Amino acid sequence: MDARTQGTVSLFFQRNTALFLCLLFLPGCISVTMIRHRRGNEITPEKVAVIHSAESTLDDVLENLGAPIEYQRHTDGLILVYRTRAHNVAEYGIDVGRLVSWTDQGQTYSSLLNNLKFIYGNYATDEDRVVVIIGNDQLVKGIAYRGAINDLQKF
Amino acid sequence: MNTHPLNLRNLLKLIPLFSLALLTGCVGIGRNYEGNDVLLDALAKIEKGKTTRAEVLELLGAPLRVDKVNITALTEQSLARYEGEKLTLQIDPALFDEIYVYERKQTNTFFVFTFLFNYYRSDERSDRLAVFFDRDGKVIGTGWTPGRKEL
Repeated sequence: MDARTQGTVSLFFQRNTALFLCLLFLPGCISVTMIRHRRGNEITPEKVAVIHSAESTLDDVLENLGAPIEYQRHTDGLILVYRTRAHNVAEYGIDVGRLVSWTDQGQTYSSLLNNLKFIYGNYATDEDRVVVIIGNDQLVKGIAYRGAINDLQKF
Repeated sequence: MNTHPLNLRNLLKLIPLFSLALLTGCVGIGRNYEGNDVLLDALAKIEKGKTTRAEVLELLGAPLRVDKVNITALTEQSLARYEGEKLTLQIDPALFDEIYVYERKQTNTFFVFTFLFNYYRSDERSDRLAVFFDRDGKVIGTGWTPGRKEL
C-alpha cells in the first residue's frame, strides 16, 4: 500500500471510529424486538376428547393427559389443572435503558434511563387449559377445555 | 472541489461501515435444566393399590414437591370467620391424601441481537410425574408427561 492510500485509509478510520463504536454498541437500543415464549407441555384436543364426565376415571385422565400442573383438594374430590402458556411480543422503538443495562452492573443508570424510551409494542398472552373435577369415587365429575394458543396473535 | 463532509463520495464510503454495523450483535443458544431425571425404570415397578408411599420413595427418590392440603391454613381460615365461643372442626380424611411430584424441567432459548432486529425465543417443557396416594398411603394413580421430548 502506497503512502497516499495508507493516509486515506487512516483518515477514513480516524473520522469514523467514533461513529463505528457507537454503531457497535447500539444493538438493542434502536430495534425491532420479537419475543416468543412458551411454557408448559402440549395439550392436544384429541387427548382431551377421550375424557367424559361420569364415565372416565382418574386413571383415564392421568393416562391421557399425564401429570397435572396444579391440584386442589376438596372434601368432595380433587381438581386437576393442565395448562400451557404462550406469550408473543413485537416491539418497535428506542430504548436507551436497555443499551446501558448491558454494561451497567448495578443497574443504577439503566433504571434511571428506563423512562427515556419510545416503544410501540404488541403483546399477546394466552393459554391452553384443561380443568378436570374428580369425585371421591375417582370418577370424572366434569371437564372443561379451552384451546387458545393456536389463535394467539403472532404479529 | 467539493469538500463538504456530507458529499456523495463520503456517504458512499459509509455504506460498508453501516453494513458492518447491521451485522454487529450476538447470537445465543441456551439450554437450562432444572431438577433430577425421573427414573422411568422405577415407574414401571409401581403397582396401583399395592405400592406404598415408602416404596415409592425408595424407588423414585425424594420428590420435588409433596402436595397436600395445608390443614393449619384451613383451620386458621375457619377460626378467622367464627365469632362464637366454641368451634368444632370435622376434617375429611381425604384431605390428607398426598401427591408426590417429580419434575425435570428444560428451557431452550435462542436469541439474536443485532443492530435493528432482536429476536428471543424460549420454550419451557418438563418431564413430570405425579403419584397419587389414597388415605391408606397406597398408590391410586400415576400421571406421566414426557414433555421434554416435544422440544
